[in-house]
Amino acid sequence: MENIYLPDLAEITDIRQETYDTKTFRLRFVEPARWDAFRHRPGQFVEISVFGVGEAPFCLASPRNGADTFEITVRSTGMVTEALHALRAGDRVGVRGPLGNGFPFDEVKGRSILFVGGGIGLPPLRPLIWEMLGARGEFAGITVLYGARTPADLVYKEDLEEWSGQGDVECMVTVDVADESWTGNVGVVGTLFPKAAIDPSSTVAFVCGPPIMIRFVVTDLLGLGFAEESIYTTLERHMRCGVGKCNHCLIGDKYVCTDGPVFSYQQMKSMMDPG
Amino acid sequence: MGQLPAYVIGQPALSAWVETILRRAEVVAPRAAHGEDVTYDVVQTPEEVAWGYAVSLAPLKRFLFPQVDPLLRWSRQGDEGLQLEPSYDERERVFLAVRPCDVAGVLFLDRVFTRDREDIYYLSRRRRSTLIALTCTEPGENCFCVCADAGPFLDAGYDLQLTRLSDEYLVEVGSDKGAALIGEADGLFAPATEGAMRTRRDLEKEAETRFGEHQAYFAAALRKVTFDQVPDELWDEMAERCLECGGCAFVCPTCTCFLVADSERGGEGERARLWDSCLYRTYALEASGHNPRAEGKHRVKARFFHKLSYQFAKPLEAHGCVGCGRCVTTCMGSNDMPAVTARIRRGAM
Amino acid sequence: MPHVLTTCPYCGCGCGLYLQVDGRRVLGTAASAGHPVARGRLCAKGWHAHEVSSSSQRLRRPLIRRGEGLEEASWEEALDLVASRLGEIKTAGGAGAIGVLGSPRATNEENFLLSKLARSCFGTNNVDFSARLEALPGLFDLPKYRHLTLSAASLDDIERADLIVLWQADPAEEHPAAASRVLRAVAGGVPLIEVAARSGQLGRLAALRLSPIPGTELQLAAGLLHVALSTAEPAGAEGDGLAASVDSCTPEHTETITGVPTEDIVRAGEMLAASARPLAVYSRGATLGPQGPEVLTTLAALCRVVSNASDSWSSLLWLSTYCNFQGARDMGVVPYFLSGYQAVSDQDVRDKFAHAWGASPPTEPGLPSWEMLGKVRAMLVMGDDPTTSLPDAAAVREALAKLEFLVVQEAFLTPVAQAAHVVLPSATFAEKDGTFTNTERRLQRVRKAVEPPGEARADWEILCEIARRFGRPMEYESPAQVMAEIASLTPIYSDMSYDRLDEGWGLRWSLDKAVATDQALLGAAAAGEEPAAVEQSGAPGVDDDFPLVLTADHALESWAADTLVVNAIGLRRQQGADRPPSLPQIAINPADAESLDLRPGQRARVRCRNGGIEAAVRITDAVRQGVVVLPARLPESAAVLQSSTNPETGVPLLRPRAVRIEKV
Repeated sequence: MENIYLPDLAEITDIRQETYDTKTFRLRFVEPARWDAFRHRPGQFVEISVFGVGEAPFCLASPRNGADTFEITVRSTGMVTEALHALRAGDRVGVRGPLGNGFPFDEVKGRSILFVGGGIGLPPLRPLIWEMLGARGEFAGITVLYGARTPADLVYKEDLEEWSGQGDVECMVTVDVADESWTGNVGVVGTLFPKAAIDPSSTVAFVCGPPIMIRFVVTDLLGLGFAEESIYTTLERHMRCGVGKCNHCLIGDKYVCTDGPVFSYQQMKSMMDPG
Repeated sequence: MGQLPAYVIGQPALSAWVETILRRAEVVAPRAAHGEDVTYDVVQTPEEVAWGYAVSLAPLKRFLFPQVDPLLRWSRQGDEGLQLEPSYDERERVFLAVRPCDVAGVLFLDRVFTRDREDIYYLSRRRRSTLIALTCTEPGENCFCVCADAGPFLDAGYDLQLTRLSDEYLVEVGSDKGAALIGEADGLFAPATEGAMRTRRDLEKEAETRFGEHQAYFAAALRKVTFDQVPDELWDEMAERCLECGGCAFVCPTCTCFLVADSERGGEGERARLWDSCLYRTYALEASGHNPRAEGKHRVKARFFHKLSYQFAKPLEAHGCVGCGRCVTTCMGSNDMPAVTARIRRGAM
Repeated sequence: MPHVLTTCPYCGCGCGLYLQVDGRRVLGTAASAGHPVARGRLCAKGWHAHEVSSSSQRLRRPLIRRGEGLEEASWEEALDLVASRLGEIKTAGGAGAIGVLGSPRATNEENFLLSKLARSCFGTNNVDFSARLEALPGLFDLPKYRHLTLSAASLDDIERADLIVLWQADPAEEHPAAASRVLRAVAGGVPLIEVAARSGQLGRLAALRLSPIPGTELQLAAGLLHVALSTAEPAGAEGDGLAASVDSCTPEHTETITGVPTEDIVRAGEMLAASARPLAVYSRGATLGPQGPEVLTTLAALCRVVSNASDSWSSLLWLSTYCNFQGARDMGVVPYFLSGYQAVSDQDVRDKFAHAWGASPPTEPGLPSWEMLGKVRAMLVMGDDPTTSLPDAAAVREALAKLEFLVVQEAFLTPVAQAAHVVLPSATFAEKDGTFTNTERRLQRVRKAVEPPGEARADWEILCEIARRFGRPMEYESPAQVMAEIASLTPIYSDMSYDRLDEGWGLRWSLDKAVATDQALLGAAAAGEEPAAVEQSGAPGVDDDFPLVLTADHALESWAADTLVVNAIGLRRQQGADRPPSLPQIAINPADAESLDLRPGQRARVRCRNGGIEAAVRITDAVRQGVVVLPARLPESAAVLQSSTNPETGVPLLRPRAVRIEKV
């Protein structure tokens, strides 16, 4: 019988500072055979252990790109993330996963795709963006809209540049509050909607970010005419086991760790949880 | 019942049988603690079994899903660096004289821990366990198993089910494991006569009548909770009376929420799971500081949604209550299952 | 023995519980249905009682300070060092140079032996425990106050009362077993009156919530007494004296001082007058207030006036904070008492103990804990932590650092242990035998379930080792033997033995027994003194610069810094102690928040006349307008709360203060 709580060991091969409080870690399994079984899809997550401190869930932030590594992007907010931030390349962590459902992919071929990310909400979308760009012909339009509080909070600056540079992708970035050197858009990410060429009837939207941002963006999208089942997001909850047993991540009767973390807005509406 | 065999056994054969079981496994049975307290505990001799008890303080889940359950250990010593070692409990156990509600509780846990994914820690204990039920003819003060369809006699799910006839016990076989246990002590049992079976059926009917006076309004509660028809103010009034002790989750045979926490010292560490209660204010607290269930009424509502709604009862094949009445004893406020279902039905406190 | 019945180590209610043992480890806790306090229930702390025993943070070996850090050492080395250093300092500075602190969490046997060690080996009466200031100390030589913290009432009386008054107490936070009974009483129709600066959870079920301006509680009590006297009719001269003393405390006048509406004062007074079995429930929130003794005396007079029940009804229920707070006092961990409240100044008492101990306790009373620091040169601290129990943590830490020698017996590396020269690892309640005495004076067994980790030892064993090195061996085979000695020397415990304690669910020592040793201990309740001059309130003066009254709340976050919570792996998350907020929270009324333009969680500066702190705003209607509340137990609170000393008793306390709140 498989032990669903037993992590495998992975080594940190690279650490990239994204912002003042956010880092991207690249990980490689110590046992190569483990990588072969690790068939992750965008939208899924892993449980990372810093042994002695604890375990926490992180969305997979890299696409399957032929390399034998995967990436997670971590903001330092609590015990486990602080401990992770103190680690160096060469250190080992525990990994369980991939866990959770993933974003729809085949089901949305032929449609136009709109990505809306806020702050630390871009990491779950990143693998999906790259995989869809890798199968560009399967999708009509691809639009990436990303907003952060300030320029210092923007993650994946290199990726954003690449996406902006690609001719067949519309990529726009905005900040709530600019600094002296910022020359781009200013305003919440919803202010980018009028600037983008979006056809609600043929587009599927993937929205990730803080709960309040999701609420506002979804309201805007519904106002534009998006169908409830064409809006997808990832939900977060306090997680422990990550495998649907400890009950902490329940929203109504849905486990964010196994029924999610990806949900359509239509599903979210019917979830009965007061909070 | 039905086609499966049944036997009878009287004293002193019963003690002799318990002796044979003690030789081959750890035996957990109701055992006197202090004063009138009785609780499921490891017994060393047949005399320690408290056959005439009403209800055990703690449910059986302590032995299958302990309050502190070490999952992994590790050591940072040695050349290979960090080594992870899972720890499995592989003790053979026989649970003797277990109340039907507690057997029903175990069957519920079976479904929880095998649903979607299998929980190896629970199953490694469960698969080495034999359940010997003891039927109830007199309800305890807080019992309401009839409402929860979990007693006072069971149709199935046990390995053996004992019913006390006047001076002997009827033993019904419910599984191969149970049959094997009889087989090992063949000479101590006699086949049950038709008269014994008739007495057993009569006892069950009488028990159901007696137990039937103890009410919990599950049907009405199930409906209202499933369709979100309980007024918010009612959850709030109940939350006002919750002291967040966690007792209801800890004594309930069907509650399984747990935290996972690490501890380490001097290079030796352990990850364990610990019982948790969904009524604690920090239950859903996220690392960011956001708490989606910050208010007590949200937590009380979520608890009873999990326990009673069709959304959970369907996949788990039963709602989360066996009518053992422990929450009535242990709640520091007054939010036990019978009280809550009555309020839900009334729509008021 | 897989299920071990013992007593909870957290609050003063003293619930019985079973520790479940698997192999050599305590793996769980179960509630006892038959236990008279627990009755099948436990609070969150009780349900996690098994955790401290297997905490990875346990001290396992003795530690000796070498240079800046503490290093592991053998017991021999550590104990020899303790004996030689204490011996040197005693020789150089006299016995008075040594101070000893016991613990409201150590067992009776351990506290008794600590007193014996101090008095017969060191020759000092500098024996105390720092939380004792919660029990109106320094007043034991003032009979009029003694009965206020030795109440005859029991927890079950909560369910027998026909009116419950929660006076500056929040049992939902600090004494859930009591709160559970209040909930049952209220469900049965008994009215509840809450008097508090911050309304607690039970306040939501109260028939009346009275929120006096902090510092005016005495004037409120006097006002209630005025109303009660005009409605009820107490007998005789007592009534005339009392009525005269509160003659000016009309409801209208009381409203002017306290801010409590006239109609609420009248209604509360009438409810009290109409009751036959009123019960006032209070704890350290009341005793640590600026006029604590006077408030409670007035409350006692009020209850006496209205109570129509027979002489066996007692209307005062004191809830002590820790599991053996009562026992530590009973055992003489008090500078002027030996066990059983027998005065050191009494020659006959000294002779009796001299005969049993081989040395006479000194005559002069010793220093209380809050005076010891700064006056003694060396200290032995058994499990106590003055940095959390005395009001000014920074001052305590400074004083500890100045000690020439500090030896600490502890299970965890607490702040006081970190300051020590020698740390001796001790056992928790799960790893030793002994007894605790709960707030109802009920002695109960503490039973050993597992061995202590590493080389840790029970405190009583450590004390015997130290005594041996002082040439005055204390030889006991077991704590049961210690109890036999206690019983032989302590009239109020004369009936106690482990055999008797094992039979049922513990035994309450009787207040009547105290008569034999100290008539006044029963409390000259019948001859109650008049309440103090009531015009003088303890409230600070407010003005335009400092318009709000800041008060300390002892129940808020009280467990978050507790060593038995912080080191309990699951409990610490439940109590919010695993992620302590970076700023203390200041509770403020919504109307005040709005006029100051403050949002929830916002950083604000709390400024008083000579200082200030930063805090995070918590907006709640549990506090009245004009009042803001800080947790008393946080070290930062001392900077803005006014530390002062009760003039009659010398006890340090925190006074309410005039402040203003500014956005940062």
